[in-house]
Amino acid sequence: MRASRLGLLAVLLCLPGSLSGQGGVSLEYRVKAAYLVNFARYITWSESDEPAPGDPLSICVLGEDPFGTVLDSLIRGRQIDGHPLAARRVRTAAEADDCQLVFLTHSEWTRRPELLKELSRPGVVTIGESEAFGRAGGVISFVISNETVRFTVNLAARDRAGVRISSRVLSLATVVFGPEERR
Amino acid sequence: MKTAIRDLPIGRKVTLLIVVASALSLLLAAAGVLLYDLTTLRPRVIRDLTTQVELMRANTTAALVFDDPEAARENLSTLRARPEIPMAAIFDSSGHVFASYLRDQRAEFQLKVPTAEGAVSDPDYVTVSQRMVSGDQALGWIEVRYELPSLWARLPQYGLLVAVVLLALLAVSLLLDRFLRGSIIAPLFELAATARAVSSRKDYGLRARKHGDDEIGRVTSAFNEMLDTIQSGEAALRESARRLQEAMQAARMIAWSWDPETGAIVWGSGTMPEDFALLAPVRSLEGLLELTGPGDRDTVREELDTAIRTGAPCEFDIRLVAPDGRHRWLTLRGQPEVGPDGKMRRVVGLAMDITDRRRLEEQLVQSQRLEAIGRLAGGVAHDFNNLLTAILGYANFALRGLPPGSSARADIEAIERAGQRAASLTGQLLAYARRQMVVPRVVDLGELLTGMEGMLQRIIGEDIHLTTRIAPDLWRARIDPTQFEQVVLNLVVNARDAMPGGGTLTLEVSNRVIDPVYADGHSELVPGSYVMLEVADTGTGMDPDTRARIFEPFFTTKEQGKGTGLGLAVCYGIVRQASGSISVYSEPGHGSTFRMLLPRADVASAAEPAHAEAPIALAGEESVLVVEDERWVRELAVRALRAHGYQVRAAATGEEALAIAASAPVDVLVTDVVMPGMNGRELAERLQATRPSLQVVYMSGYAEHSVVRQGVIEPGIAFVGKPFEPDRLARMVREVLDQSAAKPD
Repeated sequence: MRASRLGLLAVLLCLPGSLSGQGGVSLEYRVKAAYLVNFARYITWSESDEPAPGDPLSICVLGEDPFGTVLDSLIRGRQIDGHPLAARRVRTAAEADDCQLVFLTHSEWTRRPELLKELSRPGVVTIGESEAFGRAGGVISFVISNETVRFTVNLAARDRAGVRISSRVLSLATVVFGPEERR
Repeated sequence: MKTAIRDLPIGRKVTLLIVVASALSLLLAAAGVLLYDLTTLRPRVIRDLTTQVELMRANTTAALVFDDPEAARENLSTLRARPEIPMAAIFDSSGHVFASYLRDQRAEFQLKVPTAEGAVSDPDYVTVSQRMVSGDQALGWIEVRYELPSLWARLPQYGLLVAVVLLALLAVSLLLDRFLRGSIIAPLFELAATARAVSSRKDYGLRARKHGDDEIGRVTSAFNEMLDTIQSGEAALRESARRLQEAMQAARMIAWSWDPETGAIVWGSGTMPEDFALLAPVRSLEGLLELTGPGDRDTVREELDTAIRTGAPCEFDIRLVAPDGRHRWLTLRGQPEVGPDGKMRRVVGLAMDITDRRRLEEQLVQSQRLEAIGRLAGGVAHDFNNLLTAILGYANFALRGLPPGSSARADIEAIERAGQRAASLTGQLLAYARRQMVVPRVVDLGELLTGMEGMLQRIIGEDIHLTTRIAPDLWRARIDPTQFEQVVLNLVVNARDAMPGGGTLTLEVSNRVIDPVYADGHSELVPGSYVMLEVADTGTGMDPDTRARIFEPFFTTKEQGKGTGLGLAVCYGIVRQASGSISVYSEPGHGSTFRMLLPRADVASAAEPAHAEAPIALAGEESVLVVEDERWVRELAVRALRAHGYQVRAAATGEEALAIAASAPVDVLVTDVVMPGMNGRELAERLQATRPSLQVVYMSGYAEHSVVRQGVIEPGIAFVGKPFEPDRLARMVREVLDQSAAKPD
């Protein structure tokens, strides 16, 4: 049951892109790559933070890239609200200055507090890979629950980022940190 | 069905009409609502469902995107609030079921990935499918199904409504029925009851009560008016029927009808008149024929058969014989009735009792027969008398020249005796024919009878006891005494012959008043006072047939040669000539009683002197004209008169006599009464016209009306009946001459 479901999901997620070059990427990251694209779809940026029309909506991977070519093939040719999607690999917070979504990989775990401090600004949605990341102030955190990729949302961090996350996404989150947990 | 409705009472009809019409309109309305519901339900459901699907899609897209079937299922399970939605499903892009919702866990749906967006209508379901997309990426399908409420599920609601309204209608109808019963049906029933009472009781005085001025009221008025008409018509009819009944009774008539098929006879209507009591038990033609004489039966059958065959009216007489032997005569007239098929159905007509008429007719026929016989007898007697006049006259002359004791004298005397017997016979014939010359006188029948007793005793002989009863203060009667004696003699001889073994003969004379009632039954009698002679014997009596013919001449029950058959006929003639009547009462074995009635005569005329024949001189020299067509009589008369010195001329006819009288003197005319051409009376009148002093002597063999009336010689007329002795004529001539001379001219 479980295997079939992941298999199904894999089919779902890989359908748009080519499987070439993805040989080393785990199912987990293929799912996470797809989720990153999907988050971009359910998050609405304020006018000031939204890229100019025609400018790309950038999904930035900060740290060691676990996706290989999966993410690139997912966003290829895709647009959200008139913005072409772009995937960038960045090394620092400064490099992620014009990124709308910033995925902090495990490699950056130790730099997490500084990176979060630097990236906690309007227009940037931070996405991490543990529940702790969320508690530490990341907006969205992937968690593995019941062998399934799920996510948590920190509403205080969201507010700080100044974006709106569709309630439908919120309803799917396993844990939603309320604003009272900002302290 | 249609007859069943038709025979329903009006109230039921109206109720039924209301119920049917209301139910029909109710059903139509319900159907309309249902139709509206059906036509608008589907689009509404589709709209509603599409909205629902869109909402559901929006809510579950993220779940699909983030591969969270639990979330999607949770979302879908909110449809539990919509029980009409049995199923919802989300399919992923590969066509597999991602999440589903089933209202009824046990229900098994074939979940198939839709192929197109939009609504699909099944008879029971509406299914709306939509694509799920994320941006331009197809994610899968969402499908929601809506279960349409079943039509039958809705019907009970409408059915209940219909039932309630129907019940209400029923209640209204019942109320209406009660109302109708009161205002329409009850008056109708009353009208019907009145009509039935009228027809069963035939009481056209009944009237139906009017309840109002509606249609029924008008029908009631019309019905009552009809009754008015019928009542007056019926009264007129009854009056007419009563008059007819009275008229029929008065006319002694009764209606009858005969059915040739069954042979049944039906008599008239109402009560059977007494005259037809004999017919009351008769129910058939055969029954009727049993009452008739055998001779009538064929006639009756033939008449009726002919009537039926030809359709012509029929008429016939029948004689019914009552058990007591009495007869009744009926005349039946009828007319066949033509039925609708053109065949003769029956014969209807009237029967009239004509017994009385028949009796009178029979009496009339009897009288006419006697009259005819009398006329014949009179004619014969006339000729005989002429011959006898000659025979006796010349015998008389012959005797004058013969000495007594000569043999020729004895011969001639024998001729004379035979002639006298012949004259007597002729006289009897004339008596019966009422042509006998009679000289009636007012007489006391008792005296005459007493004078005859000796002679009668000798006639009846020793074996018969004779009793004579003469009532005191007996009235007088007017009759020729000789004739009366002849009647008594004949009756006594007749009685004697009826008592060959002896018996009692009773002669009785008494006064008798005939009242109109009694006279009615006897055609020959007029009411008044009569002197009655009864001659009763204790002899053999007579049967009715004999009784009916007893007075006919030459009818006799006696052996050949014993009687002439004229005796009772002569009695009849004499009595009738004297304006009386004679009848007989007799039954076989109980003797006979002859009853003779003579009218009472005025006492004033009783002073008539008896005719006494005084011996007078016969001779004379006057001129006598003898007129007689019979040569022998003429010559005898001439010789008889010449023998006494008269100047006699003779003529054979009246014309000849006139010629002679024109040139010769005539003092006395001696003329026959009955002559060819001019008769004696006419001749006498013509001669007397120029010779007022002319005396006339008539000669006649029988009473002729020109000279005598009813055989009674008119006063003042000289008459010599034939046959006469020569001297008698001479004496009569002398008498008239002497009387004429004695008259103060």
